[in-house]
Order: sequence, then C-alpha cells, then structure tokens
Amino acid sequence: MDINTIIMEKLTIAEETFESRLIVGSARFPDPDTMCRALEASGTEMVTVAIRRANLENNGQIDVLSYLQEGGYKLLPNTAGCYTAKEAVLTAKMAREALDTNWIKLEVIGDEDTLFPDVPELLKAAEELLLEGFVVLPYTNDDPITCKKLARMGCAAVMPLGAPIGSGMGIRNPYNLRIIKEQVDVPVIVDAGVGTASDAAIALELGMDAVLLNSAVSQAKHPVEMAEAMRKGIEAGRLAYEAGRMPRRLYAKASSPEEGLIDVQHNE
Amino acid sequence: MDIKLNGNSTQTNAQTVKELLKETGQDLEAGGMAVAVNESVVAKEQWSARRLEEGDRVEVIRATQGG
Repeated sequence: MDINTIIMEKLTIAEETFESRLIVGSARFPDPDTMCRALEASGTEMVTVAIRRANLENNGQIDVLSYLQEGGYKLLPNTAGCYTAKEAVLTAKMAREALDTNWIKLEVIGDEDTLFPDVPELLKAAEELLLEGFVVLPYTNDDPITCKKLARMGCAAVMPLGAPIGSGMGIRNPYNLRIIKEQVDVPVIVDAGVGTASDAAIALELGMDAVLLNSAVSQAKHPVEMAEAMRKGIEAGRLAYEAGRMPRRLYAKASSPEEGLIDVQHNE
Repeated sequence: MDIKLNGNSTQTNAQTVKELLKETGQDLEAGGMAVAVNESVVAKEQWSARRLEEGDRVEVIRATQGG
C-alpha cells in the first residue's frame, strides 16, 4: 500500500462532508494575521464566530468576517453568552439572518464560573431551533442521557465538553465520551477542554468524530505552530482509531520470537 | 421618538429600521449584520419597510470573533 493513500475517513455532518475533523474558534487571537495563518495551518474547514451587539459609536471594529470569508471557511455562529433558551433562540435567528446559514453551535450557559451548560434550557432551545429548521450542534455536558435526548430530537451532532471551556484540562472523562459515542448515531464532537495536541489525539483515538477548540490554539505561545500540531494530533488520533489499537494486557508479552534461543551452560 | 437601541435609551428621528441604521453610521452593505425589533428578527429586505414606534427595543448585531 502506498503510504500516501492512507487518509482518514471523511466527516459528515448533516449531509455535508469535511476532510478535516477539526473545527476552530476565531476568538482571542493576538491579531488577525496570526488568526488567518493559524486557521490555515490547522487544516480546518469550519470556523466559529460569535454574535454580539454592533458597536454603534465606532465603526472601526475588526471585520473578522472578511478575513474568514477570504479563507473560504464555513462559518458556524454560536450562541455563546446566552443563559436562557429565549436568548439563545433569538441569537440563533439573528445569526441566521446575518450570515445566511441555518447552522448553529448552540450554547446555553448555566453559570459564569464553570460555563457548564444549563441542560433544561439547552433542550428547550434545541427543540425550538429544530422546529425552525436549524442544523443544531449543541454544546453539552459529557452526559450520555442528555446527548441521547439531543440526538433523538434531531440535532445534527452532539458536542460534549472534554473539560470546562477555556480550561485546557484535556479529556477528563473518556469513559463517558465512549458511552456517548456508542449511544448516539450522530457525530460526537468534543467541544471545549482540549489544551494541547495530545488531548485532540486522545479524543479521536476514543472514536470521537471531531474536535472543536479555540483557546488551545489562540492562547498558545505560538498559535500557528500549535494549530499545525493540532492538525497532526487529530490525524494521528483518527488514524490510530481506524487502525484499531492492540489490546491492553497487564503482563508483558515478548515481541521477539520465543523459539530458537541459544543455550548457555550455567556453572554452579 | 425614544427607543431602546442595543440596551441604551436613544432619541431618534428615524422612521424605519433602515433610517436608524443610517443614522448610526452603519455600513448597510457590510455583511454579518442583523436587526431585531422587540425580539423579532427584521429581515434585511424589510429594513426600509419596518417602521419604528415609540419604545421599540432594537437590537443590532454583528458576527464577531468567537469560540
């Protein structure tokens, strides 16, 4: 087999296919140029944006959109900062109008210290947005039951957190993520918590379909290098998953043949 | 008339959403903007038709950097 023909399986969300299994946020980069180079290095095809009140006094805001559109990325607006279903639904509708996309990364936050989701409000918002024809990608707890409910409702993917948003603590509950993957038949995207390339690799090795991250790249000392590392981590993790890892065992098993060893006389 | 614009009490002479956006110096051709009046989205095609009334709560948003 030609080594160059080994490529990972593609990712499909709501009948749209992506080569990359990495979704990257556009927040908190040191400057637009670094953001553009990091996004390119990451290999991502989908980039998240936030919806905020326009600055009506000053039109000198950085027009992040022009940079992202130039890069040809699919935009995934989020409802970050929403604390109720009502806020999230209106934000999603405004995002749809502003960006001409019915895809939404649905976040309904429970409190500002943990940024954990408010699950009842999340479910309510998801239901409403699905009825409105949105492609809903909900950020949720690593809770299999909530993920099952969201998937059954018709969400296009579920996005359990690996660790709190912006914490960089990695994949804190790999077992729940595995259960979630077994329990839902939509893509599972680890959203939040990834801090470095090995975290991304672990998520993909566990069988997760993709990773959504932001701070891990934008807050790295060298965002462009970290973006490249993430791309490689994602690829390594996915290929390892597809390859199927060897079974774990408690005791050693020699890898060299056990037959044909030379005899040595042992003198007393 | 007095309206609430992005949470702030504002006096305006604008009769419509479009006039209000012009009054606040928004670039109407720039993408990534949306408007809601009293928690209902006003589609871009309706900006010139949608009349404003005393006490309306107007939200003007833009897509910006986010994770």
